[in-house]
Amino acid sequence: MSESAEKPCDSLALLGDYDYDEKEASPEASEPAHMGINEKTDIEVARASSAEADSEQPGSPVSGPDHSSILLDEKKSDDESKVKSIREDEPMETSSAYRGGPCLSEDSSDDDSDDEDDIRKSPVDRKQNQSPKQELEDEATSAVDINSKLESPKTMDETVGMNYEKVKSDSPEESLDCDYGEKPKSSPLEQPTSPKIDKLMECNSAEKPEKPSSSEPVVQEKPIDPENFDGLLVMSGEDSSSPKQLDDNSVDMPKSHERSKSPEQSKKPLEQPNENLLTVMGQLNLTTDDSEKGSPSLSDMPVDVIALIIERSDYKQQLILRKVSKSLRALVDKLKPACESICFMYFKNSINLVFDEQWVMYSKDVFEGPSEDIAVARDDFEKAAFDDLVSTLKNPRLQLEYFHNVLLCEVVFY
Amino acid sequence: MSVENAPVVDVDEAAIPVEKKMYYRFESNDKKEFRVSELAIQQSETLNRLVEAMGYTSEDVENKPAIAIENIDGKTLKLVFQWCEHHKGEAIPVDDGSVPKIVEIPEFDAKLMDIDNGLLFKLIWAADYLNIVQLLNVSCKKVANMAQGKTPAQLRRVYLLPSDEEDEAAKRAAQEAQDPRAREVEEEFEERKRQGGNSFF
Repeated sequence: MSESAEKPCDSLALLGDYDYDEKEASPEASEPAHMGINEKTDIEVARASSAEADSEQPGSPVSGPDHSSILLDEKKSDDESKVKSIREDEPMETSSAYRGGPCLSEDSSDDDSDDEDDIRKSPVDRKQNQSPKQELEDEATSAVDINSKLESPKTMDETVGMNYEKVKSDSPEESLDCDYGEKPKSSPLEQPTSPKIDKLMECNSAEKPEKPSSSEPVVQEKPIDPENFDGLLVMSGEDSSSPKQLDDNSVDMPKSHERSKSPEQSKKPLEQPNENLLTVMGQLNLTTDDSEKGSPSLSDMPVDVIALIIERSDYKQQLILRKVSKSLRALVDKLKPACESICFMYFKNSINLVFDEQWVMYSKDVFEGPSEDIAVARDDFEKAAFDDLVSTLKNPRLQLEYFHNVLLCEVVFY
Repeated sequence: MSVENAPVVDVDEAAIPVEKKMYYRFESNDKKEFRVSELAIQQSETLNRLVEAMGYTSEDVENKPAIAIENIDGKTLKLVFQWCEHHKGEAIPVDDGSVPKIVEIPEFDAKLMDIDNGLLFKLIWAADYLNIVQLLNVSCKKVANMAQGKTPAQLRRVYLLPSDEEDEAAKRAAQEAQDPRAREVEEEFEERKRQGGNSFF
């Protein structure tokens, strides 16, 4: 019952945050409330209304009236006349909807229906209801405010109600009723200043403990959120799991204490570092789980070690290693090729590549050559030969002293 | 097993003189203790810097507990210190950037490394960790020599490496395991692309 009835209050609170402040500042006029929303959009109207607010309640917490030092009398008079027209037009429409807030404890169903009706009003109805306000807004919307953009049409409807309540609330009780619906948003802003709001906060917290947190401004939520705080700790390089240490080291510990420690440390340069080194040696555990299996793979080796192994192979062997696996190929291609001269010989039925006097023969059939030579027998031997040649020439670290290309199409090996 | 009960392995009894030379005590992760001469330790850059920083005197070496090397087992550490004792006092080679690296495996090293592949793997890893340059040279050369005269398929078996196809399949499986929806989204995108749409919206 209470939850359903609270919905409109929440929505009002969400929408009328700044309106409430304005109302507190200037209960007579509804302008400030409207201004609160479009405070930044319409500077002229804001100045006029804030001037009124300042003149009536100098101690108001709203920041809007601060701009009232510059007054435009003509504009102000125009605005006042418009506001009066709003006061006359709005009450009938908004009062029925808005009174639901204070009557929640008596009959929530009616309040719900009223509030929901208020919220569900079609845009046309809203236009009709807000026609006087719309006029004000038309003047005010010469510049578009981010706040006004963020707020939905519902907010406009409800803010009109709030304005009416502010105007209507001559007695403190009525103003309390009005505030009841608006509290959640206004409370965080005005807590330190107005006792009224404290009461309202108590009412709100009793009935809807979770809602106010959701209605809090995002700017206020972030720094309070412990997750964000942990995230900041992590970003700052501190351990999020030990915020106390951060406090002890960075905040609680005076600088003089730190200074007093440093000479002690300097007195024992051998003892303390020794223990640290020993602990570091113990912590540097580089053993792999695969080592327990008894058959470690080459891929378990550090990359630097694999590079050392490749560097200690001759270039023919490196060409074979390139074909073993993708990772090895990538590693071989990164290293400097272990050859300074290449001789490319193209025959009718074979291709010979000589890397630093190491022969690699590519052909369809296997040739019997010296045992140290490599014979590649493939149908697409040309592709294999050119792949090897390209991979060698593509390496940016290749430094050739000699490159020779021989085309002997007529010669045939037997 | 307590430290007192741990077996003490003498690396090279003949090499231990009675003179003023200092012998550091090291302990493997399986609580085997080794006594290694200061000169032999110089072959290992890591251990050499460690003992320099500790600044142990000969009394400290005896009174204080052995320096624990937590990530190397006794069998491997014994091979390492045997090699260090044998090559103590030798100059540490410097990488001149030349390729290919020409490395000769001495007879002693060849015998020392006449071990199974698992232990050779651990020896290479320990040499890398303790930064023993020459031991790393010869052990890597030994592994490189293992590839001589073998085809890529044979090398895959020797080094336990996956082929390109297996590698691709494993990578695809890992990606799918990480984000099972990714493949569906990709297929959906391809389907829409085939139909002529440029985007999902």
